[in-house]
Amino acid sequence: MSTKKQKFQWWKWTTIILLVYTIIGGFLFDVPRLIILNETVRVLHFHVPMWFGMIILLVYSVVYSFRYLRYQREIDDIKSAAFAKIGVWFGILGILTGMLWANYTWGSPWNGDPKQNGAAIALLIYFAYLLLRNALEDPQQKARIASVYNIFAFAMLIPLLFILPRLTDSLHPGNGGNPGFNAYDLDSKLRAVFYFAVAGWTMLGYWVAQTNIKLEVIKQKIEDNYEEILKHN
Amino acid sequence: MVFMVASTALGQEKYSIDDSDYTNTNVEMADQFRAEGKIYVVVAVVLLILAGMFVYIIRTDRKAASLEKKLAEIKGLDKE
Amino acid sequence: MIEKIQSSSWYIAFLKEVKIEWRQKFTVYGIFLYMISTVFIVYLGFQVRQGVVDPVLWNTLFWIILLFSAVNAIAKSFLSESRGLMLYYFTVHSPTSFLFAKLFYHFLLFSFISILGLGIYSVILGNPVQDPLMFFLSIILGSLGFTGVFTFVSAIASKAAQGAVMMAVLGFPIVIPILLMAIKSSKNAMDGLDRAVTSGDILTLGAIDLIVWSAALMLFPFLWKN
Repeated sequence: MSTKKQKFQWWKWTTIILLVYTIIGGFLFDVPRLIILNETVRVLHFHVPMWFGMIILLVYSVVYSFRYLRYQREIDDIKSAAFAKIGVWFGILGILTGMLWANYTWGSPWNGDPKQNGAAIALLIYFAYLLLRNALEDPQQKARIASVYNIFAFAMLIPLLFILPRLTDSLHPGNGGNPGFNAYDLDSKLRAVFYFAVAGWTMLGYWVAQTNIKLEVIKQKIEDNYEEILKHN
Repeated sequence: MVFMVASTALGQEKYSIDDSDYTNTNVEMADQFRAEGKIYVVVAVVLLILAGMFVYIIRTDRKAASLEKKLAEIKGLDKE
Repeated sequence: MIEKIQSSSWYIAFLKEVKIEWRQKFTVYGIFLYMISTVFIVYLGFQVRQGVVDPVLWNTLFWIILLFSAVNAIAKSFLSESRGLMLYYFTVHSPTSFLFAKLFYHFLLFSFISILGLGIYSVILGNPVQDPLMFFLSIILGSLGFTGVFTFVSAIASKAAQGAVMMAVLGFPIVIPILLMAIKSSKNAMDGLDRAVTSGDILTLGAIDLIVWSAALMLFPFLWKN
């Protein structure tokens, strides 16, 4: 209950600066002139970070599920759910932007590309996770069972991401002779924006998750102290 | 991240980019559009939208913080 | 060795499981009948003559049939368990040995069902398999994985309302890696590829099964409380 005005954390400024830089650099910097891709190579700084962001945010969600099972603190479950939700949002945006882009470069929105399929399966898993949360009534039971499912599903998601590319070749730029790039093969000019774009978008997701966590905690507190609050008014 | 690890671990062929990819003229890009400077309009528009989003999220953050404070006050009053 | 197994906690739980199931044999018959009807519907739906169906389609359909039989066969492992009986189990067994007994019983049951299903399927739709031993192995490993996923998911789904729907929604996305690897390795066996080529996929499938079973056994104690 400090009376000091809440400080605007440094990492929020960093997020803003990174994203402004991403947009300026992403639109204005030189990019390689490649067949098929043409100007759409710039999508790298906007679409691909959605996937990286999704995976990173989902890893956060799983980590908090572990912590919940270990310490049984409600806050960990709230965090886990918030990160899963924003991760799913990133996934949906990634799929939509990917389909839009693929329609113009690969000729159709869905091409059975392993990364596309993998992302779709990851989304199915986390939709199921959110559905499970809604289907359970008792808050403690909900937290525990959802955490268990989260960890179990993530344990299956990882082998899947290794298997899928083995079953079919990826169409993604940079793979199988497609013109383009890969994080380890990116040339330095693209990298100069791409890494910061990934950091920026992921941090934006983290920021949104933090705000949601704050609101969820307030909601819980109101529900727990409902009588007191009524008295106060 | 895992996607990347998975695909590199399996060592699919990669197309690497060199300087000639920056200088060739046979691949069509939006050169005219850039020359006319209209790209700056696009950048400005997107930046403005981004700024709007940031203002919104910061305001939501502040609102949440003030609610937190209010709740703390209520609980504090009860203790007295 | 044998005495050691006989006195172990999971073995006792396993025997109990078998006894209870034996008293309700009709549920097992029901699963067989489910399998037979599905195979027959597939046959009628395609209007194929024996041996005419495309081998790739043959293989994939077989696994899809197995998948749906697995959902139905294994769903009952926790969904139909009465609350009183569960409470009794809590007091008698440790969570790990209880789940292991469940997993082991359903693995035996389901691999038996799938082998029998393969027989019926081959009789009605023909059998293009060239390397029966490897095909058999991929069915066993596939059953192992299906059992692991669906037994555990049924334990989760039994806590929620709408258990049967939740079972499919929660289970299908996570069973995909097992299904894909099983289809791939059984297709290799069907085409009679060299054992050296097939064994890589078989090993991958085995490794995934290992992950599923160990994750299930490690996480189950957390579901157990309450």
